[in-house]
Amino acid sequence: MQRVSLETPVLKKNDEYAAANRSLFAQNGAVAVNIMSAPGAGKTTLLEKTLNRIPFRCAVIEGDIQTSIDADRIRAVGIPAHQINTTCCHLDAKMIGDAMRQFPITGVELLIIENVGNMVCPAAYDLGENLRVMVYSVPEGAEKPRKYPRMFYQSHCVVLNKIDLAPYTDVSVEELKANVLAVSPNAVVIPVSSRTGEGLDAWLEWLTAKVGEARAAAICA
Amino acid sequence: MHETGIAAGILEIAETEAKRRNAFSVAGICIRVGDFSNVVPEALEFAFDALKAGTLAAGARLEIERVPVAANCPQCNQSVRPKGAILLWCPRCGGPLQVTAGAELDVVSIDLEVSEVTCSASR
Repeated sequence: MQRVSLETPVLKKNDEYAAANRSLFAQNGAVAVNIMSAPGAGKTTLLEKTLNRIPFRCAVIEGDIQTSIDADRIRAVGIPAHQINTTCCHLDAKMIGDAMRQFPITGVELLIIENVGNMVCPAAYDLGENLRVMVYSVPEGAEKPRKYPRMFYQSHCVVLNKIDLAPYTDVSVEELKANVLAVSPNAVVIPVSSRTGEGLDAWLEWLTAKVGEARAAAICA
Repeated sequence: MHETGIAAGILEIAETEAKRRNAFSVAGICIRVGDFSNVVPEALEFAFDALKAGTLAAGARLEIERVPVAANCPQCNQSVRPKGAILLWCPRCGGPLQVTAGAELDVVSIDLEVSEVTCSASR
């Protein structure tokens, strides 16, 4: 018997595809944002309320296990969208690379990648994105950030959605915010209600500034 | 939840290396799984056993090295090993911590059965 030392990351192939995506985004001058959450946190609704209010040409790649419901919703607000049906629980970098062959991102300044609703697996797969945003909805409870810390930790911004529902739950938005920051000290936490519009200005301001910074950095590099 | 894909990735890495070295089977695979990797070792073992049939690793044993979460405080350069629930604030200065270990998901080594004949023929 022969022992062979490998020291190979299991996701090495994904990371290679992610690096190729990263170059393609940079070549096209596009900033890619990976949006993640559990199912039903309100990623698509937040995007519907966002994409026509930021000063960038946007496109969206949607990931879902089945149907094109989300891509249809994005197209309905006038933004180009491409649906990936994954059959599995997360998007990986190869799926994004393959999608961009059918859905060229020429002229796109902000590419949103809406991941499959799942609070665990998508966190492990680099898609080559510039920014990671997590949407977490108040009715999911105050304690989940402590129970599922990795996605929160990796996110540059955590949008706390559905704050309009807080009075109907036992969740304190302040406690929830503290729990997010406990596991993700550097994240920007923005409470919003996509439904009523409360807090959306702060989110739009953050996203516009970050995309602007990433574009400026890409032009300098 | 994604342990099936992870197990398939581990088997692919092991089989590719076994073929490259003309081994006739993989007897064991050692992997490193961090406690911050979002991989459940039991689910990974289950998926690995289900997928290994028909591969060069059909008889392989999966050995899992766990890596606890470790963090560092950039302010006071202190290493912290969060116990129980992860809290990423420095107990000394109260500043934000950076995770330095625990996200690992690597194939460390594989044990190959290499036929003597193949070995001497390739020399």
